[in-house]
Amino acid sequence: MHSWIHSIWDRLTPADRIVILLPLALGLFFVLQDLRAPRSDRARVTAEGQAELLIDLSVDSSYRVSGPLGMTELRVADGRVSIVASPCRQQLCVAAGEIWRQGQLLVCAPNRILVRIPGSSANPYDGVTE
Amino acid sequence: MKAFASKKITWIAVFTTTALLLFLFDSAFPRPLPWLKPGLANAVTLLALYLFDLPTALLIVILRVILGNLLFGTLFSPTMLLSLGGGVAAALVMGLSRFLRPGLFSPVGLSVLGALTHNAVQLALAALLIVRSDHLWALLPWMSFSAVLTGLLVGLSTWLILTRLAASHLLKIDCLKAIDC
Repeated sequence: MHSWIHSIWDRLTPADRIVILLPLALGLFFVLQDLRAPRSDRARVTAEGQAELLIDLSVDSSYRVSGPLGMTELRVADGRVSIVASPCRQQLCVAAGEIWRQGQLLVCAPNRILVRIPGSSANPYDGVTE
Repeated sequence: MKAFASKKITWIAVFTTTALLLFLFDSAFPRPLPWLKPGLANAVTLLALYLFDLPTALLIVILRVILGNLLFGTLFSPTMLLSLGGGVAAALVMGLSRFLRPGLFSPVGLSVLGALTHNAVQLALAALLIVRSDHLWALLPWMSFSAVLTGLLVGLSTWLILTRLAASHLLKIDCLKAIDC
C-alpha cells in the first residue's frame, strides 16, 4: 500500500532526508513539551504602545484591545482565552482557537497583538523583564 | 539578442501570473490548522530555479508579492513585509544550495528547505519588527511541522512537473542528479 512512499523515499538524497526528519523530530520534542505544560489562570495581553493587560482566566468575560487595524476582541470562557474577532485579513488568530496552558500563544501580527499564558519556571524571562 | 530578451520577459510574465494565482488560491484555501498554509507559489520559485537562474527566480518572487499584496489591499503593510521577507529568503536559500551545491538536495529537499526558511524568516520578522516579542519563538516547532508537510507537497508536485517537462523536451533542463529525468 505504501510502496509509492518507499519509491519516493528511496530517490531522496541524504540531505533531503535530514531536512525532512530533523525538523519533524525537533518539532515533536518541543510540541510534546508544550502539551505537558500545566494550565494557568492568567493571561497577558500585549498591544503596541499600551500597558500590558493581565487577565483572569477564572472569570468568564470578554475584552477589547485596540491595535493599528482596529479592535481585537478576546473572550474568556471555561478557563480558556480565545480571539473571537479581529480586523486582520487572514484571521489566523481567530482560527488558532483557545489557549490555557503555560507557554501557549495567540498572535495577530497585522494588528500587533499578542496573548500569552505566562509560564512558571519554564520561562526565565517572566518576572525579570515584565 | 532582442528575440531572447522578449522570450525571457514572456516567461517571467507567465511564471509571475502562475505564482500570483497560486498565491491567491493559497489565501482562499480553508486551513485545517491556522499555520498550515500550503505555500503553493513556492513551486513556481522552485521551477524558476531549475529552468532559469537565481536572479530571475527572485524577480518572480518580488513581482508576485507586490502584485498579490496590491490585490489584497495590503501594499506596504506588515503583511507584505512578512510575505516579501519569507519569499525572498526562501528563494535565496533554495537558489544558493541549488547552484553552489548541485545534487545535494533534490527538488523535494529544496522545497522543504525553502518552506522552513520561509516560516523561520516570517517568524523572525514578526518577532523583531511587528509584534516585538521573543515569546513568538514558541510557535517555531508548530511551524516546522507545517513547513515539512507543505514543503513535501510542493516539492513532490514540482518534481512531477520537472520530470514531465524533461521527458517532453519542450524545455532544456540540466539533468537533476538525484532524480531520474
